Amino acid sequence: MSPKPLVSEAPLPPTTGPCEEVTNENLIKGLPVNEQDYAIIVGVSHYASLAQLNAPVTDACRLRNWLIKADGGNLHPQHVFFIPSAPGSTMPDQLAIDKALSDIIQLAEAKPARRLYFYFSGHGFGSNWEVNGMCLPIWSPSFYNAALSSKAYLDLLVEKDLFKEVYFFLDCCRDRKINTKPLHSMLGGARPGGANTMAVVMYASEYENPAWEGMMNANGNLQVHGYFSRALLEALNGGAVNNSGDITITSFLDYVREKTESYAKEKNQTQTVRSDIRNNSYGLDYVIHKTGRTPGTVLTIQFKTGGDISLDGPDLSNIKSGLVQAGESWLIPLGKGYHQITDKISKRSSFITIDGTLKTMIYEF
Amino acid sequence: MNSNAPTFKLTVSAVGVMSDFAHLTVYNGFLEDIARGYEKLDLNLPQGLYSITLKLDGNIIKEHVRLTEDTNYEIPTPPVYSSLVADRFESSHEYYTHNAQHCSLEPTVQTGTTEGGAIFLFFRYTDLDKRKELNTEQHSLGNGFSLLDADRQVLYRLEGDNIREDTDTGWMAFHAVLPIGTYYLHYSGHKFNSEDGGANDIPPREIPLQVFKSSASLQGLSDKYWQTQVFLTFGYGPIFPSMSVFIAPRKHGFIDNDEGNYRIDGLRHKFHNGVYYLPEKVLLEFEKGQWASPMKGLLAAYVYFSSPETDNELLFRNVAQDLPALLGEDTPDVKALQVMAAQYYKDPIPEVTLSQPCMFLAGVRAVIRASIKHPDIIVDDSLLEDITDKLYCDMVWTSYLPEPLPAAKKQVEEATPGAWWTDGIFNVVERIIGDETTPEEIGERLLKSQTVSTLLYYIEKLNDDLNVNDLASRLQIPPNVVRKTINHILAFSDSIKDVKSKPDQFNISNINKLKSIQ
Repeated sequence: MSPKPLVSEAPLPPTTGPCEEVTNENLIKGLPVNEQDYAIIVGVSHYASLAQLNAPVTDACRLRNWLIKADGGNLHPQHVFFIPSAPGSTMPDQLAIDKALSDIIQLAEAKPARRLYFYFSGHGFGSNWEVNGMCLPIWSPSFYNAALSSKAYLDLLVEKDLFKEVYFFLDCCRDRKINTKPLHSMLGGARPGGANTMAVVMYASEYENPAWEGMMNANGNLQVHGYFSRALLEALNGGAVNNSGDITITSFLDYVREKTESYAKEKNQTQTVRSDIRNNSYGLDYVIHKTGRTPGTVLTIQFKTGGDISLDGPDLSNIKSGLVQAGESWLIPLGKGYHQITDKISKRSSFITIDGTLKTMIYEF
Repeated sequence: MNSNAPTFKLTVSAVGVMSDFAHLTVYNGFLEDIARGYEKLDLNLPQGLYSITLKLDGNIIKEHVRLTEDTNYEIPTPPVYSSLVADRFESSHEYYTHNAQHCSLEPTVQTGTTEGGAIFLFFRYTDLDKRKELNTEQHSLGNGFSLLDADRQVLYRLEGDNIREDTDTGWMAFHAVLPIGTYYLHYSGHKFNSEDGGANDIPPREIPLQVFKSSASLQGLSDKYWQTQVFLTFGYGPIFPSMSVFIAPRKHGFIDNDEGNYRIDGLRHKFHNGVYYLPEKVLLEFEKGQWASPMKGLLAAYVYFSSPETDNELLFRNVAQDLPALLGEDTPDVKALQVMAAQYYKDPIPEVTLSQPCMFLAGVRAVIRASIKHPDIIVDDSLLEDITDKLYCDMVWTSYLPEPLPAAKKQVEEATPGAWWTDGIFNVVERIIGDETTPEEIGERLLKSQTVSTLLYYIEKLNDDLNVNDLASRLQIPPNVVRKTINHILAFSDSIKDVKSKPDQFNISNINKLKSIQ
């Protein structure tokens, strides 16, 4: 079935807009890129009636850049439809997003497609537990339904059966709004209904709960990020890598869930990621991204008191032990995992988590 | 990891209230998720470092384990808060529990009959401190509530001698013996200023409640009448999503340490969050044919038929077959479950019709879905049809924006002009046309209806394949309601056809499109 032609009433925002220019080095070098992969990345920071957000456009940029980079998603830049909001504008509207989707569907119908990433960051609400409203910039109490229905869009993408895999990431609140009917895509209508597409869906929070953004320090850089989006990017950048250097569905979901929760907890907030997987015939160990890198961190342990110290690894193999004095420190490269440090004299013990996202880390004991 | 490392048993258990619903995840030392499940995990694992995460009711507990020997690791469940004033919930207090028990055994109103089922309502704050903080003037928790009969006539207002209450500790009880059938708990809404001084509004709401048929024909039950028990917590006003409903033998009333009630509450809470989980103990009860709690059966069936899982197919076919005998084949929830079961098993939709809403929202939604191909399943011009575009979707129970109470209608309309008709298209248009307002104002007011404005948005944006069923699917309302809405818009449009200035959405193009799909 060919998609309905759609023409947005306002021009689409520029492809990059507020994002730094990135190129896929593989394209320049004539190396293969993931030509069968596509992405729609929507970041809405600016709203006509709702509070401005600081993170969505920034976070959307980071995901867009990861998708384009050769060691990231390795997508062709023209396959990444980046749709940011802009100050003083009520764009994007639904048609801008549907137009991008329509273009991708046309491309995917022309030649086999493997993967579609759909990311939305902005204000949102929970219409019910399975329907999230993704608020468009024009949303206001008078335009109560000016929000896209997460379920309708996901259903459309899955039921089109054009992609083998769909990754659907929503970094928006799921606070309850009663009696809402978020919008279905204009690309609806008759559907083939094969529904063989695997869909990995991640909501930044549980139904009825907010998703937070906050000032965060990442390797010395202070920037506002959505907790979920930060965890998502860290996972893709290697945090979710297992010891084979692969990011699997499980390692990805676990990492994003765990890190989002911990970022929220650091700010005395609660945020629990909700994930759903549909039509997964590949299994949870399916590799969604290969990095070829094994994660690790160089850990500096600074001893506040002296003792007879033992540091054990995830399988209890001893990594280092010996007597230390107060003020002394150990510099040890550690792989991803739990480690236990024990003072055999005082029997004091702590667990150290190396998640592989930091190159260096300081731990006081 | 060294494959020759010795292995040990690691048994991880959640212990305490609602442990059936505590979700456990075990990660190995390399941060890999190696096991997950509810309540208890029995594992054989190599020595090493592990972490265990317990999640329950929004709480997350994380523990580390160094496994060097067989280990039995128990994690106490965190405190649980619920509207149900059960013995082991943190939010239950003797001053609530005791009174709930007492009032559930003694009707607060005399209905002239002692034969029949009953409705028992118990409203309260989370505790005395909250009452002092949020209701300094000790207003009655029954304010704005009425119990209506199947024809939406007021049976009782929850006030005066109809209720028992203690406005100091902050609770209210209502208990009436009633014939089997559908009743409606009507709430007329409430405006208040929250802590930050902002104006807030709890809109009106109506909730169908069922008094189920007597169960004399069933063995093993001590009483032949059911009592429908409703527990609701208050903040600045009623917190409807917290509502718990139980069905218990009437003569038993409310039992504060009924183990089954914890499971029902846990099931409801998971269901509310879209988690379709049925504990083994619940499944076992059904396998043994233990039907002491019809609510558990209803809830479990709704959970099962909402889930994509296909385990226990035979068991739930039997459950669906048992429910009509237990609760009455004309009961809306029983009919809705038959529809849902047919959708689940991909069987033909049964030839049932519904005119009243069932208690579970999932049931109403299943019936609306079925109506796309089987419009006659919803009785024309029935209450069920009327509420399909006014549903609130914030709890597992059906609730909707109601029409004002018959007796209070005039008074309410005068008090809040316009506020009531934002969603009721049928009454809206009929009420509006003929008023001495301008077409612009009428149009704008009409567009405040979410159904009308969203329908017109779709009409404007969609060019091809416009049809009633597609619009019904997008708006999640029955096709008949789409047709009637279109007819009303066209009628309104016709009445203003000669007016020069009118809202953009009522332009000729849109009106012609509406006519084409009429």
